[in-house]
Amino acid sequence: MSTQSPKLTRLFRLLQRISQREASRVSGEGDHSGQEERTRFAEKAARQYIQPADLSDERWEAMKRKTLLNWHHEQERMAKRKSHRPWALALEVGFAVAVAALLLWPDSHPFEPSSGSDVEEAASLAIEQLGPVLRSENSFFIGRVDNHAASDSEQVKEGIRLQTIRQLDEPENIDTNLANRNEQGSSALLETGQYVFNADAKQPLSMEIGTRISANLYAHGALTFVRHRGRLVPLVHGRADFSVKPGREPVFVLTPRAVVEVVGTKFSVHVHKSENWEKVAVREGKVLYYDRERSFSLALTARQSATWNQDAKKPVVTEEFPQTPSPRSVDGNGTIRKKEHVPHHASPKRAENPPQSPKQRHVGTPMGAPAKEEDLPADNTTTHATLEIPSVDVAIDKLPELSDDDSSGVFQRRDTGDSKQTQGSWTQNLLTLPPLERHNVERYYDAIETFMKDGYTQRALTSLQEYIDDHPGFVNERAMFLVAECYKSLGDHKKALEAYRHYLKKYPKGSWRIHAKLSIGELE
Amino acid sequence: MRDEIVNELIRRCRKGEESAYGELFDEIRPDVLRILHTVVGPVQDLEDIIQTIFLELFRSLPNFRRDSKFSTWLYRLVYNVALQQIRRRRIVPGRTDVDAILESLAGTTPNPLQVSEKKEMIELVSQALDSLGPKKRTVLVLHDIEEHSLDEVAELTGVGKLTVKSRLYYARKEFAKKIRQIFILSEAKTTEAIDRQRTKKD
Repeated sequence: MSTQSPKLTRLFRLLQRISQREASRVSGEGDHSGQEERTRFAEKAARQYIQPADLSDERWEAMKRKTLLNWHHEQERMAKRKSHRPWALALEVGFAVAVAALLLWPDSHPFEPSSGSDVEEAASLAIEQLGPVLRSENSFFIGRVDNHAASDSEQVKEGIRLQTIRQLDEPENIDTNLANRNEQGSSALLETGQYVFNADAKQPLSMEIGTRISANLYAHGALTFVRHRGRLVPLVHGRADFSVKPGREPVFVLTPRAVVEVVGTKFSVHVHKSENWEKVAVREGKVLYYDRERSFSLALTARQSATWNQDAKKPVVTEEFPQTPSPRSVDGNGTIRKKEHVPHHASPKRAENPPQSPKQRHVGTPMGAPAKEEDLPADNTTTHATLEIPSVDVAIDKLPELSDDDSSGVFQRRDTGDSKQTQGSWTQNLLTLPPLERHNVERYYDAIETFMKDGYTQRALTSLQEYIDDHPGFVNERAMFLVAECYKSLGDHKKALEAYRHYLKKYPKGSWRIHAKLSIGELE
Repeated sequence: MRDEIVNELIRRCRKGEESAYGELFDEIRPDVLRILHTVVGPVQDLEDIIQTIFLELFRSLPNFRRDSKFSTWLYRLVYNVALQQIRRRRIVPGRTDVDAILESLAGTTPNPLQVSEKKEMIELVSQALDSLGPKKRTVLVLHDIEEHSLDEVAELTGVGKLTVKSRLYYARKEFAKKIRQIFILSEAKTTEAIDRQRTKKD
């Protein structure tokens, strides 16, 4: 503190002048000789004011003793609290670790949808990158404006295998020249801006999408990859199983109607473009499923799936994926994983009643085809191409050779109602197969049904006959019934009757026996 | 030199030396008392507040990051704790010990006649400062008496510069109202004395 106090002095001088004027006005001209001295004294008094009288040493000592004693007790209390409550320390450490993890690991953000504009922009960009996606009456084709066949060799980099197609109803145009195609299947590394179309009805296309995303794209599915404020995988059509490792960038799978936001999980997305339905099934982890307008947002956890049918306002969530049989892993060469497949029966065309629960979703399958407990992919059903019916050579070697007796009655115990009884045998028999074989069988029959539905009955019949010859086990039960159906459809009633009778003879308690008997009655 | 001593004591306190707390107490107690007096004015029972201030200071020592001087940090701590205590304890300002001030200014008042007048003046000055609220008084004392700049006052009190200016304006206004009474009263007394002398002569 300064001994001279100009500011205070100025203040007092000012006050002095004011007071002199006021005093003169009140009492006339007075003697102001003492004012100067008074001002100085007042100023000194004001300065002295801020110098409080010091307390006595005794008081200070007493205060010091008390303060230090209190401080000592406080420290003891704190130490005791920590030692008596080790969980509190653990809690503090755990909390700190959790906060640090949240800060350092961006992908561990809570399941809040990203902003709508981002996804919308990304979707636009994805469509732009994807090129024209055209849909005609009987064909579905995808491709860029330019001629890809000419530039494929230039675009294909090391490790990248692109399979392109221009028009599915012209099989000769399919470019199946995959350099690394082998017995195990095919593989591709998809990079930004490239799209892939799997025209192989037999094997899924296993690919790495950018980094940390691996996917199996099933037959006739088409997807692309865009990196824009995250990793975007627009799935235009078909089904793909994804396995996403946690990373810094968010991952979105864009379907025509919605968005699947991923954090780090394994899931499956199935889009049927022409029938306008889609389905998301989660195997591990958690995904967010929401539409572009954010009218709904579903957090799907493991073993849950959401099916969004054509006319529904929002998807229906169902529990999926029974615990058994256990999933199979996939190898890096594109061999088939255990299928957490999107049920093709969920299609509005295929099921009058959209699936509400696993038990309900098999009702009403076309052609009376029995459903199974675990749905298999239906990629083949989505195409109208005149492709050769794929064989199931991979699976057939491993099929168990069950006797007719086995196939007809062993698994009837769960059948209760009449309709269920006709279906239970086939369904339960299928469950005895390993997942790989079961998947191939189901895919084959799905393809046959599609061909029959689309008018390729003769081709289906030929394939079925070959299949029966090649597969003497119970798996041909459905083929035998379908052969009869094919004859009936072709108008050859005599052969149809023979085929129905042959079926009933071989499978007297078969799943389609009632249908067969009704057809016999009808044809006779 | 003093800063070095204080910093060394702080370092020892952070290490957990019990004796360092006592030494720090002794070292900074005049500052604490002065700041406290500026903020709360004349209060008889300062012990409890002082103890609270020192306990809070010991608790906050690990948080002293040396971004500012220790004196600044101490001022803000004492200022905040004092305001908190005023609110909690509803402390009513007492009266300044006029005799103590007069005693400290005794050298300048040899004439007993003047003593009563000066005592009266000290009382008025003290009353003027006592009557100010804690925030206004602090600003007035820091700026006009202790000669701190507006920025320094803002830093010490932890408020904005404009707030300091505003408080200073109102503090001076209130203070001036009281102080003017000193001069007017003195003037009136002087005039009265002159009139009385004239009457006697006549």
